[in-house]
Amino acid sequence: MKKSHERVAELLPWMVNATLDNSEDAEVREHVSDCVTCRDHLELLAELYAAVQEGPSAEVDSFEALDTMRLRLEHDGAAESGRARPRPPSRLVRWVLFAQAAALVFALGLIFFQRANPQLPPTSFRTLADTSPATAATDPQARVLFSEGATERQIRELLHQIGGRIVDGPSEMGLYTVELETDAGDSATVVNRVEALRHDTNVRFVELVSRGSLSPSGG
Amino acid sequence: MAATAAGDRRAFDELYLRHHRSVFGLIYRMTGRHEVAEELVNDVMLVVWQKACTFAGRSRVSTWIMGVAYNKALKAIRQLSRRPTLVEVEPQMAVDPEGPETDLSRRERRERIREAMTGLSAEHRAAIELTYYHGYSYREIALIVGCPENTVKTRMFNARRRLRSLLSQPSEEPTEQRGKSWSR
Repeated sequence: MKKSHERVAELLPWMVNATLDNSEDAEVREHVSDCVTCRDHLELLAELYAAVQEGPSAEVDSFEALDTMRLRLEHDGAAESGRARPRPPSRLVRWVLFAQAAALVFALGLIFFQRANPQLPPTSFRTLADTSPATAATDPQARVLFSEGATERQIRELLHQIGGRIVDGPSEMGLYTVELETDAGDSATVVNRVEALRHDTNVRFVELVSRGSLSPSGG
Repeated sequence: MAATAAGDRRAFDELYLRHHRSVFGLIYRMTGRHEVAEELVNDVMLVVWQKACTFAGRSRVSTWIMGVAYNKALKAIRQLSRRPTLVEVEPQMAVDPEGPETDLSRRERRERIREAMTGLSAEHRAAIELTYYHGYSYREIALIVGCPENTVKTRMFNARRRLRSLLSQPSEEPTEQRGKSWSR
Protein backbone atom coordinates (compact mmCIF):
# COMPACT_ATOMS: atom_id res chain seq x y z
CA MET A 1 0.00 0.00 0.00
CA LYS A 2 2.80 2.36 0.98
CA LYS A 3 4.73 1.49 -2.13
CA SER A 4 1.66 2.13 -4.23
CA HIS A 5 1.18 5.50 -2.53
CA GLU A 6 4.73 6.56 -3.27
CA ARG A 7 4.42 5.52 -6.87
CA VAL A 8 1.15 7.35 -7.33
CA ALA A 9 2.46 10.42 -5.53
CA GLU A 10 5.21 10.66 -8.11
CA LEU A 11 2.73 10.40 -10.96
CA LEU A 12 0.32 13.05 -9.65
CA PRO A 13 1.84 16.00 -11.57
CA TRP A 14 1.12 14.31 -14.87
CA MET A 15 -2.41 13.36 -13.89
CA VAL A 16 -3.03 17.10 -13.68
CA ASN A 17 -1.70 17.78 -17.18
CA ALA A 18 -3.42 14.66 -18.49
CA THR A 19 -0.38 12.98 -20.03
CA LEU A 20 -0.48 9.68 -18.13
CA ASP A 21 -1.31 6.61 -20.13
CA ASN A 22 -4.65 4.92 -19.44
CA SER A 23 -3.44 2.33 -16.96
CA GLU A 24 -1.44 4.88 -14.97
CA ASP A 25 -4.34 7.30 -14.93
CA ALA A 26 -6.73 4.62 -13.70
CA GLU A 27 -4.32 3.57 -10.95
CA VAL A 28 -3.84 7.15 -9.78
CA ARG A 29 -7.55 7.92 -9.76
CA GLU A 30 -8.33 4.81 -7.78
CA HIS A 31 -5.67 5.61 -5.20
CA VAL A 32 -6.57 9.28 -4.87
CA SER A 33 -10.20 8.45 -4.12
CA ASP A 34 -9.04 6.84 -0.85
CA CYS A 35 -5.93 8.91 -0.02
CA VAL A 36 -6.36 12.27 1.69
CA THR A 37 -2.64 13.13 1.39
CA CYS A 38 -2.65 12.64 -2.36
CA ARG A 39 -5.81 14.71 -2.72
CA ASP A 40 -4.07 17.48 -0.83
CA HIS A 41 -1.09 17.21 -3.17
CA LEU A 42 -3.43 17.31 -6.13
CA GLU A 43 -4.92 20.54 -4.84
CA LEU A 44 -1.50 22.19 -4.74
CA LEU A 45 -0.59 20.82 -8.15
CA ALA A 46 -3.80 22.15 -9.65
CA GLU A 47 -2.97 25.58 -8.26
CA LEU A 48 0.56 25.25 -9.54
CA TYR A 49 -0.73 24.33 -12.97
CA ALA A 50 -3.00 27.38 -13.01
CA ALA A 51 -0.22 29.62 -11.70
CA VAL A 52 2.13 28.52 -14.46
CA GLN A 53 -0.52 28.81 -17.13
CA GLU A 54 -1.48 32.31 -16.02
CA GLY A 55 2.10 33.36 -15.53
CA PRO A 56 3.89 35.98 -17.52
CA SER A 57 4.16 35.16 -21.16
CA ALA A 58 6.35 37.56 -23.02
CA GLU A 59 5.22 38.63 -26.44
CA VAL A 60 7.65 37.73 -29.15
CA ASP A 61 7.57 38.21 -32.90
CA SER A 62 8.66 34.97 -34.53
CA PHE A 63 8.97 36.49 -38.01
CA GLU A 64 11.20 39.29 -36.78
CA ALA A 65 13.31 36.74 -34.91
CA LEU A 66 13.55 34.65 -38.07
CA ASP A 67 14.90 37.67 -39.98
CA THR A 68 17.59 38.04 -37.33
CA MET A 69 18.33 34.34 -37.64
CA ARG A 70 18.73 34.60 -41.41
CA LEU A 71 21.17 37.47 -41.05
CA ARG A 72 23.11 35.48 -38.54
CA LEU A 73 23.32 32.46 -40.80
CA GLU A 74 24.60 34.62 -43.64
CA HIS A 75 27.04 36.46 -41.43
CA ASP A 76 28.42 33.32 -39.77
CA GLY A 77 28.85 31.63 -43.12
CA ALA A 78 26.74 28.74 -41.89
CA ALA A 79 24.07 29.24 -44.52
CA GLU A 80 25.45 26.58 -46.81
CA SER A 81 26.01 24.13 -44.04
CA GLY A 82 22.57 22.86 -43.21
CA ARG A 83 24.10 19.93 -41.48
CA ALA A 84 26.70 19.19 -38.91
CA ARG A 85 30.04 20.36 -40.10
CA PRO A 86 32.50 17.49 -40.15
CA ARG A 87 34.91 17.52 -37.30
CA PRO A 88 38.44 18.47 -38.29
CA PRO A 89 40.50 15.35 -38.89
CA SER A 90 42.80 14.13 -36.14
CA ARG A 91 46.54 14.71 -36.37
CA LEU A 92 47.13 11.11 -37.51
CA VAL A 93 44.46 11.37 -40.22
CA ARG A 94 45.90 14.69 -41.38
CA TRP A 95 49.38 13.12 -41.58
CA VAL A 96 48.11 10.15 -43.59
CA LEU A 97 46.26 12.46 -45.95
CA PHE A 98 49.41 14.54 -46.40
CA ALA A 99 51.50 11.44 -47.13
CA GLN A 100 48.97 10.24 -49.67
CA ALA A 101 48.96 13.63 -51.35
CA ALA A 102 52.75 13.69 -51.46
CA ALA A 103 52.87 10.20 -52.98
CA LEU A 104 50.33 11.23 -55.58
CA VAL A 105 52.33 14.33 -56.50
CA PHE A 106 55.50 12.20 -56.80
CA ALA A 107 53.77 9.64 -59.02
CA LEU A 108 52.34 12.35 -61.26
CA GLY A 109 55.75 14.01 -61.46
CA LEU A 110 57.37 10.71 -62.45
CA ILE A 111 54.79 10.15 -65.19
CA PHE A 112 55.29 13.69 -66.45
CA PHE A 113 59.08 13.26 -66.44
CA GLN A 114 58.94 10.02 -68.37
CA ARG A 115 56.61 11.50 -70.97
CA ALA A 116 58.89 14.51 -71.33
CA ASN A 117 61.95 12.22 -71.89
CA PRO A 118 60.75 9.39 -74.11
CA GLN A 119 64.27 8.68 -75.47
CA LEU A 120 65.51 7.33 -72.17
CA PRO A 121 66.07 3.59 -72.40
CA PRO A 122 64.47 1.35 -69.87
CA THR A 123 66.71 0.74 -66.94
CA SER A 124 68.14 -2.69 -66.39
CA PHE A 125 70.02 -3.98 -63.41
CA ARG A 126 72.77 -6.60 -63.47
CA THR A 127 75.03 -8.07 -60.88
CA LEU A 128 78.78 -7.55 -61.31
CA ALA A 129 79.30 -11.29 -61.76
CA ASP A 130 76.84 -11.43 -64.59
CA THR A 131 78.74 -11.95 -67.82
CA SER A 132 75.75 -12.38 -70.05
CA PRO A 133 75.08 -9.78 -72.73
CA ALA A 134 73.43 -6.67 -71.42
CA THR A 135 70.61 -6.56 -73.86
CA ALA A 136 68.27 -9.10 -75.17
CA ALA A 137 69.74 -9.36 -78.61
CA THR A 138 68.06 -10.39 -81.73
CA ASP A 139 71.29 -9.65 -83.64
CA PRO A 140 74.49 -11.67 -82.96
CA GLN A 141 76.88 -10.26 -80.41
CA ALA A 142 80.64 -10.55 -80.05
CA ARG A 143 82.85 -9.88 -77.10
CA VAL A 144 85.76 -7.69 -78.16
CA LEU A 145 88.99 -6.58 -76.48
CA PHE A 146 90.46 -3.61 -78.24
CA SER A 147 94.18 -2.80 -78.22
CA GLU A 148 95.33 -0.39 -75.55
CA GLY A 149 96.57 2.04 -78.22
CA ALA A 150 93.34 2.05 -80.21
CA THR A 151 91.82 5.49 -80.35
CA GLU A 152 88.19 6.21 -80.07
CA ARG A 153 88.12 7.30 -83.70
CA GLN A 154 89.78 4.05 -84.90
CA ILE A 155 87.31 1.96 -82.95
CA ARG A 156 84.39 3.99 -84.33
CA GLU A 157 85.64 3.49 -87.91
CA LEU A 158 86.14 -0.25 -87.36
CA LEU A 159 82.65 -0.64 -85.96
CA HIS A 160 81.29 1.32 -88.89
CA GLN A 161 83.03 -1.01 -91.32
CA ILE A 162 81.61 -4.18 -89.81
CA GLY A 163 78.23 -2.68 -89.06
CA GLY A 164 78.60 -3.12 -85.34
CA ARG A 165 77.85 -1.05 -82.26
CA ILE A 166 78.90 -1.30 -78.69
CA VAL A 167 75.97 -2.27 -76.50
CA ASP A 168 77.83 -3.00 -73.26
CA GLY A 169 81.20 -2.68 -71.57
CA PRO A 170 83.88 -2.30 -70.84
CA SER A 171 83.95 -5.15 -68.33
CA GLU A 172 86.60 -5.43 -65.60
CA MET A 173 88.83 -7.06 -68.21
CA GLY A 174 88.17 -4.32 -70.76
CA LEU A 175 85.82 -6.39 -72.88
CA TYR A 176 83.10 -4.69 -74.92
CA THR A 177 79.97 -6.35 -76.23
CA VAL A 178 79.44 -5.48 -79.85
CA GLU A 179 76.18 -6.12 -81.61
CA LEU A 180 76.58 -7.02 -85.26
CA GLU A 181 73.81 -5.77 -87.45
CA THR A 182 72.92 -8.34 -90.05
CA ASP A 183 69.95 -9.67 -91.93
CA ALA A 184 68.20 -12.59 -90.32
CA GLY A 185 69.67 -15.90 -91.37
CA ASP A 186 72.81 -14.35 -92.88
CA SER A 187 75.32 -16.33 -90.84
CA ALA A 188 78.09 -15.98 -93.39
CA THR A 189 78.15 -12.23 -92.99
CA VAL A 190 78.47 -12.60 -89.24
CA VAL A 191 81.41 -14.98 -89.59
CA ASN A 192 83.08 -12.63 -92.03
CA ARG A 193 82.61 -9.67 -89.71
CA VAL A 194 84.01 -11.58 -86.75
CA GLU A 195 86.97 -12.54 -88.89
CA ALA A 196 87.45 -8.93 -89.93
CA LEU A 197 87.57 -7.95 -86.28
CA ARG A 198 90.15 -10.64 -85.50
CA HIS A 199 92.44 -9.42 -88.24
CA ASP A 200 92.22 -5.78 -87.29
CA THR A 201 95.35 -4.54 -85.49
CA ASN A 202 93.26 -2.59 -83.01
CA VAL A 203 91.57 -5.77 -81.75
CA ARG A 204 93.38 -8.16 -79.45
CA PHE A 205 90.57 -10.62 -78.85
CA VAL A 206 87.13 -11.39 -80.24
CA GLU A 207 84.61 -14.16 -79.72
CA LEU A 208 81.06 -14.65 -80.82
CA VAL A 209 78.93 -14.93 -77.70
CA SER A 210 75.45 -14.79 -79.13
CA ARG A 211 74.23 -15.94 -82.44
CA GLY A 212 71.03 -14.04 -82.11
CA SER A 213 68.41 -15.31 -84.48
CA LEU A 214 71.00 -17.05 -86.66
CA SER A 215 70.89 -20.77 -87.07
CA PRO A 216 73.76 -22.60 -85.27
CA SER A 217 74.85 -24.15 -88.49
CA GLY A 218 75.70 -20.75 -89.82
CA GLY A 219 78.65 -20.15 -87.40
CA MET B 1 13.30 17.81 -40.51
CA ALA B 2 14.89 15.64 -43.18
CA ALA B 3 14.78 18.57 -45.60
CA THR B 4 16.44 20.81 -43.03
CA ALA B 5 19.11 18.17 -42.52
CA ALA B 6 19.68 18.24 -46.29
CA GLY B 7 20.30 21.99 -46.12
CA ASP B 8 16.91 23.23 -47.29
CA ARG B 9 16.60 26.79 -46.00
CA ARG B 10 12.87 27.01 -46.60
CA ALA B 11 12.29 23.87 -44.59
CA PHE B 12 14.37 25.37 -41.81
CA ASP B 13 12.33 28.59 -41.90
CA GLU B 14 9.18 26.53 -41.46
CA LEU B 15 10.72 24.57 -38.61
CA TYR B 16 11.86 27.79 -37.02
CA LEU B 17 8.42 29.40 -37.10
CA ARG B 18 6.78 26.24 -35.79
CA HIS B 19 8.98 25.93 -32.71
CA HIS B 20 10.16 29.46 -32.02
CA ARG B 21 7.51 30.39 -29.47
CA SER B 22 7.87 27.16 -27.49
CA VAL B 23 11.64 27.47 -27.36
CA PHE B 24 11.42 31.12 -26.41
CA GLY B 25 8.80 30.34 -23.75
CA LEU B 26 10.90 27.65 -22.08
CA ILE B 27 14.05 29.76 -21.99
CA TYR B 28 12.20 32.85 -20.87
CA ARG B 29 10.47 31.03 -18.06
CA MET B 30 13.63 29.26 -16.97
CA THR B 31 15.81 32.36 -16.99
CA GLY B 32 13.18 35.01 -16.35
CA ARG B 33 14.94 37.33 -18.77
CA HIS B 34 13.51 38.49 -22.04
CA GLU B 35 16.80 39.58 -23.60
CA VAL B 36 18.50 36.31 -22.67
CA ALA B 37 15.64 34.33 -24.17
CA GLU B 38 15.78 36.42 -27.35
CA GLU B 39 19.47 35.72 -27.75
CA LEU B 40 19.40 32.08 -26.76
CA VAL B 41 16.46 31.13 -28.93
CA ASN B 42 18.56 31.76 -32.04
CA ASP B 43 21.52 29.93 -30.51
CA VAL B 44 19.20 26.96 -30.12
CA MET B 45 17.91 27.22 -33.68
CA LEU B 46 21.46 27.53 -35.01
CA VAL B 47 22.27 24.21 -33.34
CA VAL B 48 19.11 22.76 -34.88
CA TRP B 49 20.26 23.95 -38.32
CA GLN B 50 23.77 22.62 -37.91
CA LYS B 51 22.95 19.34 -36.18
CA ALA B 52 19.73 18.43 -37.94
CA CYS B 53 21.40 15.45 -39.59
CA THR B 54 22.20 14.00 -36.17
CA PHE B 55 18.52 13.80 -35.25
CA ALA B 56 17.92 10.05 -35.09
CA GLY B 57 14.13 10.16 -34.86
CA ARG B 58 14.02 8.46 -31.47
CA SER B 59 11.76 11.22 -30.17
CA ARG B 60 9.49 13.90 -31.55
CA VAL B 61 11.26 16.77 -33.25
CA SER B 62 9.83 19.19 -30.70
CA THR B 63 11.21 17.08 -27.85
CA TRP B 64 14.66 17.12 -29.43
CA ILE B 65 14.58 20.88 -29.97
CA MET B 66 13.33 21.50 -26.44
CA GLY B 67 16.22 19.38 -25.18
CA VAL B 68 18.64 21.71 -26.92
CA ALA B 69 16.79 24.70 -25.47
CA TYR B 70 16.80 23.21 -21.96
CA ASN B 71 20.55 22.71 -22.01
CA LYS B 72 21.19 26.21 -23.38
CA ALA B 73 18.96 27.75 -20.72
CA LEU B 74 20.54 25.74 -17.93
CA LYS B 75 24.01 26.81 -19.07
CA ALA B 76 22.91 30.44 -19.24
CA ILE B 77 21.47 30.28 -15.73
CA ARG B 78 24.73 28.88 -14.39
CA GLN B 79 26.67 31.60 -16.17
CA LEU B 80 24.39 34.25 -14.80
CA SER B 81 24.99 32.76 -11.33
CA ARG B 82 21.78 34.13 -10.05
CA ARG B 83 18.22 33.19 -9.84
CA PRO B 84 15.94 34.53 -12.48
CA THR B 85 14.14 37.73 -11.88
CA LEU B 86 10.40 37.54 -11.75
CA VAL B 87 9.30 39.38 -14.84
CA GLU B 88 6.48 41.75 -14.16
CA VAL B 89 4.03 41.09 -16.88
CA GLU B 90 0.33 41.51 -16.45
CA PRO B 91 -1.10 38.06 -15.93
CA GLN B 92 -4.02 36.92 -17.95
CA MET B 93 -7.14 38.18 -16.25
CA ALA B 94 -9.50 35.29 -16.05
CA VAL B 95 -12.88 36.24 -14.68
CA ASP B 96 -13.88 33.97 -11.84
CA PRO B 97 -17.57 33.07 -11.92
CA GLU B 98 -17.62 32.78 -8.13
CA GLY B 99 -17.19 36.52 -7.72
CA PRO B 100 -14.54 39.24 -7.54
CA GLU B 101 -13.50 38.54 -3.96
CA THR B 102 -12.73 34.87 -4.54
CA ASP B 103 -11.09 35.75 -7.83
CA LEU B 104 -8.74 38.20 -6.10
CA SER B 105 -7.83 35.67 -3.44
CA ARG B 106 -7.06 33.05 -6.04
CA ARG B 107 -4.97 35.43 -8.12
CA GLU B 108 -2.93 36.35 -5.10
CA ARG B 109 -2.31 32.73 -4.24
CA ARG B 110 -1.11 32.02 -7.72
CA GLU B 111 1.14 35.03 -7.70
CA ARG B 112 2.61 33.72 -4.49
CA ILE B 113 3.24 30.39 -6.13
CA ARG B 114 5.01 32.05 -9.05
CA GLU B 115 7.10 34.05 -6.63
CA ALA B 116 7.99 30.91 -4.69
CA MET B 117 9.02 29.20 -7.91
CA THR B 118 11.91 31.63 -8.25
CA GLY B 119 13.32 30.02 -5.11
CA LEU B 120 13.57 26.64 -6.81
CA SER B 121 16.64 25.31 -8.55
CA ALA B 122 16.78 25.64 -12.32
CA GLU B 123 16.22 21.90 -12.74
CA HIS B 124 13.15 21.89 -10.47
CA ARG B 125 11.72 24.97 -12.14
CA ALA B 126 12.31 23.51 -15.58
CA ALA B 127 10.49 20.30 -14.60
CA ILE B 128 7.48 22.33 -13.54
CA GLU B 129 7.52 24.55 -16.63
CA LEU B 130 7.89 21.59 -18.98
CA THR B 131 4.98 19.86 -17.28
CA TYR B 132 2.54 22.71 -16.80
CA TYR B 133 3.46 25.32 -19.40
CA HIS B 134 4.43 23.02 -22.25
CA GLY B 135 2.32 20.02 -21.24
CA TYR B 136 4.94 17.31 -21.60
CA SER B 137 4.66 13.83 -20.11
CA TYR B 138 7.37 12.66 -17.74
CA ARG B 139 8.68 10.37 -20.48
CA GLU B 140 9.11 13.32 -22.85
CA ILE B 141 10.72 15.41 -20.12
CA ALA B 142 13.21 12.62 -19.51
CA LEU B 143 14.21 12.83 -23.17
CA ILE B 144 14.41 16.62 -23.09
CA VAL B 145 16.55 16.93 -19.99
CA GLY B 146 18.49 13.76 -20.73
CA CYS B 147 17.88 11.73 -17.58
CA PRO B 148 15.95 8.59 -16.55
CA GLU B 149 12.18 8.81 -16.17
CA ASN B 150 12.40 8.03 -12.45
CA THR B 151 14.75 10.96 -12.00
CA VAL B 152 12.13 13.23 -13.56
CA LYS B 153 9.47 11.90 -11.16
CA THR B 154 11.76 12.33 -8.16
CA ARG B 155 12.80 15.78 -9.32
CA MET B 156 9.20 16.87 -9.66
CA PHE B 157 8.32 15.38 -6.27
CA ASN B 158 11.17 17.25 -4.63
CA ALA B 159 10.25 20.43 -6.50
CA ARG B 160 6.75 20.48 -5.10
CA ARG B 161 7.98 19.59 -1.62
CA ARG B 162 10.38 22.52 -1.80
CA LEU B 163 7.63 24.71 -3.15
CA ARG B 164 5.34 23.75 -0.30
CA SER B 165 8.12 24.64 2.11
CA LEU B 166 8.62 28.04 0.49
CA LEU B 167 4.91 28.73 0.51
CA SER B 168 4.64 27.91 4.21
CA GLN B 169 7.16 30.62 5.04
CA PRO B 170 5.62 33.93 6.14
CA SER B 171 5.24 36.35 3.28
CA GLU B 172 6.78 39.83 3.41
CA GLU B 173 3.41 41.32 2.67
CA PRO B 174 0.84 39.18 4.42
CA THR B 175 -2.61 39.42 3.05
CA GLU B 176 -5.65 38.66 5.11
CA GLN B 177 -7.37 37.27 2.11
CA ARG B 178 -4.61 34.73 1.49
CA GLY B 179 -6.18 32.38 3.95
CA LYS B 180 -4.84 29.22 2.32
CA SER B 181 -2.21 27.14 4.03
CA TRP B 182 0.26 25.06 2.00
CA SER B 183 2.20 23.86 4.99
CA ARG B 184 0.85 20.36 5.28
